[in-house]
Amino acid sequence: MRNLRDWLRGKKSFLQQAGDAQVRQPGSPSAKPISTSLSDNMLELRKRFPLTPDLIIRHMDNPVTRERAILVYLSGLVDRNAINNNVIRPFLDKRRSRESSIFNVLTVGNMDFITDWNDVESSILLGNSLLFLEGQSKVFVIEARGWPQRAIEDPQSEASLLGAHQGFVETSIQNIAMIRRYIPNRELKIQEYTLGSRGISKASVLYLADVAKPEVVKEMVDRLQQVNIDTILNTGELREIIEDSRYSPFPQLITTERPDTAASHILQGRVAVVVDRTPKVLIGPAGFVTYFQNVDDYNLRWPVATFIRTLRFMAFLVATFLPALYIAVVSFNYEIIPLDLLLSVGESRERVPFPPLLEAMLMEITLEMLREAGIRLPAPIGQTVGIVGGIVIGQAAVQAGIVSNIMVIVVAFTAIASFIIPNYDMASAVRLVRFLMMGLSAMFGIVGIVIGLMGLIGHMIALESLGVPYGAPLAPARFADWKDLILRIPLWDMDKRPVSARAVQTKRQGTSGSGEEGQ
Amino acid sequence: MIRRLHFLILTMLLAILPGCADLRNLEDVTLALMAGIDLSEKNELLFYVSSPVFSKDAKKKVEEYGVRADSIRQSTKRFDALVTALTVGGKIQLIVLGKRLLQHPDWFSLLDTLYRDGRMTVNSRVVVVDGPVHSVFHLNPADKPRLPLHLTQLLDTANRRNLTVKTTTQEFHRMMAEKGMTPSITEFKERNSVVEVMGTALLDHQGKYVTLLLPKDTILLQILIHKLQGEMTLTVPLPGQSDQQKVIKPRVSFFVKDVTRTVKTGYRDNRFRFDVELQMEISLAEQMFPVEPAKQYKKLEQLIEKQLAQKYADLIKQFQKQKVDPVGFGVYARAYQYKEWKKVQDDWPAAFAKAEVRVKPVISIKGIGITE
Repeated sequence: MRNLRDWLRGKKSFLQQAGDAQVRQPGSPSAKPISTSLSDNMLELRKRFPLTPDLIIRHMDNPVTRERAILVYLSGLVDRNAINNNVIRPFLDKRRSRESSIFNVLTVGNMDFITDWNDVESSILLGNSLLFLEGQSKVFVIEARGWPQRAIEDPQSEASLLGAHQGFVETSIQNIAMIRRYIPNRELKIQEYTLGSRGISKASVLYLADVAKPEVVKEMVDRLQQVNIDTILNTGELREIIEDSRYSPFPQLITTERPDTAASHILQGRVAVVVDRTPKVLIGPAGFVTYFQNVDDYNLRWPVATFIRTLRFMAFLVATFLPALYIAVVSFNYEIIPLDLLLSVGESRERVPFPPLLEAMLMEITLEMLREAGIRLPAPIGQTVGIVGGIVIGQAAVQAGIVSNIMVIVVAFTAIASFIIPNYDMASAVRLVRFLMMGLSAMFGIVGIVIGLMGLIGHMIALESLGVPYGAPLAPARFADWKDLILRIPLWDMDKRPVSARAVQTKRQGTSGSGEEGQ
Repeated sequence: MIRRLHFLILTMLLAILPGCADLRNLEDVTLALMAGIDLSEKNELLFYVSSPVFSKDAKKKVEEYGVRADSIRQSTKRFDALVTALTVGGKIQLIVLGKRLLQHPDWFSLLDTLYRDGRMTVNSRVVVVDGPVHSVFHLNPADKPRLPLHLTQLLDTANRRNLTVKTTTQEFHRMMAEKGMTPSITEFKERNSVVEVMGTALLDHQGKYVTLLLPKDTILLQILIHKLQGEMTLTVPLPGQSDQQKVIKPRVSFFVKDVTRTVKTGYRDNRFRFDVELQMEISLAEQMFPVEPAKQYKKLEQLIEKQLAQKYADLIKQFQKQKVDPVGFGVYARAYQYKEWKKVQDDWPAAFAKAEVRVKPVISIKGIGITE
């Protein structure tokens, strides 16, 4: 009950789970300084990395001191070209012997040194190459990392017709670079944090320092710092941990695969989190309506974009309420539909042996199964699902008298409507809410739908995203933002940043000097 | 513990909500599309209901039943015993009243439940049938869709062409309650298995049947009440040439394109006086005598005005003679001559019968057709 109440109030629960979370260092008990003897170090290395066949130990001679040296790295995690050409080659080059320092020998960009075995351990695991020198108690860290990665491709889950065709990849540096390409501005700040205690991952918080509200940035950073988990494999996991209300069906932070979407949100004053090893970027604060906006909207001419926005909101209503409305009409409130339609519904319902709720559930679940089956199948088999589903739902079920024609239309319409919602997370939420509404309408008819709608609105008003109202700009009403709600007014008129994003600098074209300071 | 208690209370509250109790699946109910009330020869009340049959196996698409009862509520119980036990009236399209029933005053109280029960519709059309109601209900034309649908469509289109009025249950209630007017409803007749719209039945104050207004007069009434509505075509004869021998009679027909109505209400010499001016813009539809409308349109306009004025005079005279006021002049009387109205408000039709009503059409021809 308390959970339910908290849920209805959109209470933040992430704070409680933080518990004993500390800014954690992988503090292993066996902290130990590095020895000056290379043989001792070799032994320690063997001891610390048993059963690690991909650990490469390359013996060389130090060209400066003519003493022994070893290069240590994990073979799959380094850029082999860089290692061979910029580390090993100059090392073996006899002409370099007159150099005074090892720094002048190696032709790599980023070099550092460490003195502790624990750092050695984590550094190797992160893909750095380490150089042990005889007689030195410090280890040189050569950053020449490289790991298996794919090329930059079209974002699959957020394909755009007119926008850019670059999607994020699994490397955060590249992802940040892609965002930076859109916002080459010194105000774009990046704060880096590490997540996870076992599989350490890097999370970078990106925002425009003069636009984003400091409180919002701080909120995001606070939450990231409190994450206490083994590892973050995907952005979705991180979102689930740091979201405001964990019991809500609605996503409270946006995840996107598109650099232009991320850049657009950052420009509006939101905060983006790029997590290493995931192709999705987390963005907050999000509102309910942000899930219905798409970069293509600004790419299209504004009357067209407005029309499409209207379609999306209608689709949301259809996808949420249509099957429920069907149940209500067929079981309770047949007065509300035209007589001719009523008669044809009656005729097609007549042969159906199930009550409306069961009929609708049957079809909706079949639809969800088909959809789920189609997602993970390879394309050649995926077609089979479509054919089987089409025949089973479209024809056989009706002919066998299991469901009515009208129900098939309702299901098909619902499916199409739920595909129109541009954000996958929101579309999934709608799928879930739909079943709730069907249950309510089977119990109370139209009254049930109204109860459901009221509950939904109440819940949405109570929700928050990073402490910002989720329902804005609808409730609380921010009329200034309505220019980019259903109506997408021409861009030349849209010179203010959305109030719902809590931007400090409200005027869009403004720089930190000339922009008016809002609120 | 508290949480469990809350959960229990919530469950109980949900359970007692009057939810599933009124669940009636569409295919299980008897959906009354047409209801009828009649009076038999022995002065017994007869109730009829017609509802669609959804089953594909059934030959007939409509089932109809008639029972003897004292009220609609009582008859519903009887119907429940005859058909599937859930008769619902939320989608009644037509309420068919027998002319015999309408001869008796106070029949209106029979309809009380329609207004009292929220589940009943107030959008059904109230109609009267000339002849026994069962003849309509047992009519099962093979070449027509389900009878209630066919009848609804027939009456609605007839109304669009202004052959008759369209009075919904709600509208009928208003007409009955309004002191300043008398009700008018559609009348039709079944003849050789064909339903024909006869015109408009004019009822008196208490709902008693008074007279039938033919379709050609109904359109005049419609113009008075609603100004322009639907398609209006009027035909007037040319005066003075009533040669019985001629096969082709001189007639002029026209579409009414726009009507502006001004009513002036006065009280003089102990009686009400209504001056109605109807400014009509018309377009000629057919003309069967040699007047050149392009040149002699003034003459033609005057001709039509005169004929139309005569028609209206006859119509009003008929109303006054029968002591009915379907136009609702009483509403004007109340609005403009309240003092005098107050004295006669309880017997307005009698006062209306004495009133002086002048209808003056003002015609202007806006179109004379395409080809000369």
